Amino acid sequence: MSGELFISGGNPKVVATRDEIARCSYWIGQGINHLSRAKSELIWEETLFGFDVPNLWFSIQRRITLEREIGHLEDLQRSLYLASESYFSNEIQMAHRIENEYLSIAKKFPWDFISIPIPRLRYAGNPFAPMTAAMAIVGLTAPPSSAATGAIRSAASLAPTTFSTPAWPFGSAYGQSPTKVTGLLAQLQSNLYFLGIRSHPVTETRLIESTSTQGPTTFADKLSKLQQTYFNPRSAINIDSFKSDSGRDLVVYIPGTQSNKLAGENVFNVGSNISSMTSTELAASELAVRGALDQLKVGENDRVILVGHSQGGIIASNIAVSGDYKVAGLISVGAPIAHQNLEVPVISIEHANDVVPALSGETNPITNNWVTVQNTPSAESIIEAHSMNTYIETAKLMDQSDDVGLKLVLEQMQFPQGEAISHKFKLIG
Amino acid sequence: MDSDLLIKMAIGALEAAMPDVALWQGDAQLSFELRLQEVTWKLYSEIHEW
Repeated sequence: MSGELFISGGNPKVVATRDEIARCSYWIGQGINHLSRAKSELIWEETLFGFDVPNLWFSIQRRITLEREIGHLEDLQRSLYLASESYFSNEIQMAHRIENEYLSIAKKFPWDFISIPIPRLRYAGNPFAPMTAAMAIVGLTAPPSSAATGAIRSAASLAPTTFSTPAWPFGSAYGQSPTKVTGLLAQLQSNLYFLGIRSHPVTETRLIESTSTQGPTTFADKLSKLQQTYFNPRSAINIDSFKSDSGRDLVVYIPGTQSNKLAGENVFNVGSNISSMTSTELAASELAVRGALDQLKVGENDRVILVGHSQGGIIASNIAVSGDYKVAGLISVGAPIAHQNLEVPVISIEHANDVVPALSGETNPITNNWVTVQNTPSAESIIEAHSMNTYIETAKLMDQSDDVGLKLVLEQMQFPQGEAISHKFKLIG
Repeated sequence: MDSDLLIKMAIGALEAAMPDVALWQGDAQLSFELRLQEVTWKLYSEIHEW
């Protein structure tokens, strides 16, 4: 197990997006130029009309003022550069990690690059096709590493361009080419619908057990609790209910994919994976989780914190974005949620060699409310890199971390502690 | 060119440099905006236009 966490986001040192910093800096630069020119004009006038004493006095005073304000603006511009450097440093660190390992894989497995069946691709005319295919092949065949994950992320971000509308025989969902992987999946879904393959939108949520419990205090405990949702029985979720001053604090633990079918009794199936990444309909698993929250009569005074692994993380992010509940925080574990516009406190735990978080084709934003914890554990396969056992080891490292961003986001979330009632729901599709 | 006009152009540029609230986080946006406004007000008072 590697012992180095790479944490980005949630850090107040990074103040604005890169483009915004560049924009502000440009206009301040323009302001400085105009003021410098005004100063030159004044010097010129002083030289010409130096004998005119009242004007000279006025001119000198104005020059002093302009000089001082130019100094203030230069200070501001320097502050902006510092802020952008701190922003860049996160991005550059990430890019270097991907680049270094990507090249080492390309050297080790040249056949993955050479054996791409370009002529057989229907979209050979599309320059993105071989690139997308290369990225996907490298990502899926190479041993788990951050480079393989980077390749998958690139493939996912290129996929909409490559496999646009003509890729599907029965038209697109929106009648236009998707620009994001979510749009591409919506197209796939509409085509599956046409062929009569659809996930079952009718679900049943059954409360099977309510026991008293103690809320987890560490990240490792939280993730162990999440792991328990995978067993006894399968296709179940756990909701811990804590009493709070205003109402209740509910922590919802949602597992990931358990069935490779497009539909079926286990709602955590592949069909739900596709639906959860599109906005066309609710995934069966999301419907069932909402069913559990409704059975607990979650109201306006109840804070909801969502903890989800893989598919569980995606549907947790969908619920947080929907605004249907008072979501106070989200902990996603190995889930592709970078495409979501999340305003609640978010802790994303990802493994650099786990390809699943890369499937949205985007990287998590670096904002005050969103912290991404990345680790590169030693793993034999993609499945091991994605497994809860490996993520629990990462959570143990998080418990030892004193990263500012991580602490600030956890504080914003106010994860409840102490005595709780644990409700277990069986979800049936 | 008249220094008054150049100062007015500088004010225009600084107004364009005002932060877009949606793209900033934390106190930094307010602090940046206040410092920028302070300079703008000084320049306004310099050309006596309020």
